[in-house]
Amino acid sequence: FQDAGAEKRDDWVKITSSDGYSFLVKRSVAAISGTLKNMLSEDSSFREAIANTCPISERAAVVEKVCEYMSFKAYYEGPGSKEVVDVNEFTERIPPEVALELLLAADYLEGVFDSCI
Amino acid sequence: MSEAEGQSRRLPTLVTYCQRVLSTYTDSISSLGDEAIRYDVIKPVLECCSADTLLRLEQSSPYLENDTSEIWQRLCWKTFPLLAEQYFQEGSEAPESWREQFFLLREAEAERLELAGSRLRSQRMEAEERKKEREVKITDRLPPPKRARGWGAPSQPKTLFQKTKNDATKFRSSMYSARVIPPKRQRTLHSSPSIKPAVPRPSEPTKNMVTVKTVTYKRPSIPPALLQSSGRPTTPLVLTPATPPNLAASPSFARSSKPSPIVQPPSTGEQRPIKPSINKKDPMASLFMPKHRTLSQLPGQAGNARIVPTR
Repeated sequence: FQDAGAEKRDDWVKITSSDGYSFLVKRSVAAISGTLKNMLSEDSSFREAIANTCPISERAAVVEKVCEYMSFKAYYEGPGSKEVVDVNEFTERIPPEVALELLLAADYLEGVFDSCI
Repeated sequence: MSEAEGQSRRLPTLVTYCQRVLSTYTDSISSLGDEAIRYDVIKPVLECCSADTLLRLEQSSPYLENDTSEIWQRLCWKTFPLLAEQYFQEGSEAPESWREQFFLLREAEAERLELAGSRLRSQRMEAEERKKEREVKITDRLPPPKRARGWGAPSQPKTLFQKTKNDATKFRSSMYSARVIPPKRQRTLHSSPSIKPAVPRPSEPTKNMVTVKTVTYKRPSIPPALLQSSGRPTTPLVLTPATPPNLAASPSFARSSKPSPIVQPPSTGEQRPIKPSINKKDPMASLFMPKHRTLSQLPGQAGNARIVPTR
């Protein structure tokens, strides 16, 4: 369906890492990141949008964590969950070795993260 | 830059999460990478760094130094509160480099600690030495012998209790040893049996019996004829039989052929039987004595005279 906004589609999109890995996530999840959302928006003529693929110039470990976070956030801020999330819930899931890179990636991706999702 | 606030339903941002993780492991951060990081992204992490880590990170990413002044200042105040206070009061100019200031303060602090530490150490060693002198030591030498009792004045001069005890002890020992340590008196009164087990008269058998020594004089029953023939007046002889018959018959007696006239009574008196004298100091005599005597009965007491009933 092309008429409904890209937001309506919840198909799978691909996120790739710099070292050749690919991660498939739902569009709605990818849209957590404003940057990604824009890249994948069908309103744009980005190559990514056509291909429904977003490359992230980080290694796979980092990209994986990004996807994980986005899923995490999508779940807890979605309609299904009313629980209070423990603040440290996600902290434990970040291994220190990737923390620095993840920080940088997050900064880049979050740059456009919409806090009012 | 949109930073998610910690609102109830809103999740912390990934940046926030990462900052938290990094802040926990600051000392493990070797460098911040080749690319420059925006200061405000890394700032929360740097604020959690130790001084040494901060220095290290600055050395690997010198662009940080531009912005870390405030961090160093905070470190100075936090780490060396007293010294920084001192400094601030002396002259209120901010130092050129808080970073330098920090390390100067650190040196001063180290000196102070070293001084206090050495003082403490010497105190502790002295205390240990003193303690060692008092502790039990294993040795194979005998300790010096204690003073025997009585060599010196008692530590506490005689309390009443002590006196009583002493008296009781003395009394007791004197009482039990009374037989053994004879008093040196009591020879004059024959009547009182002396308790001393003095050497009995060698000639006489030491028996319970009372030896009665009697001296008899010759009965004037010698045929008057004899006497008369001698021509002496025999009148006094008549008196003789009247003499107290307490004379034990002792036939083997020597005759007092001497004219013992009127003198007789005296001589008789002499010859009156002597009361039995317990001259032999035989211990059996004390059988008559009660075992425990009161103080006044002690043989040692002067002036005591006791008469044992004769058999």
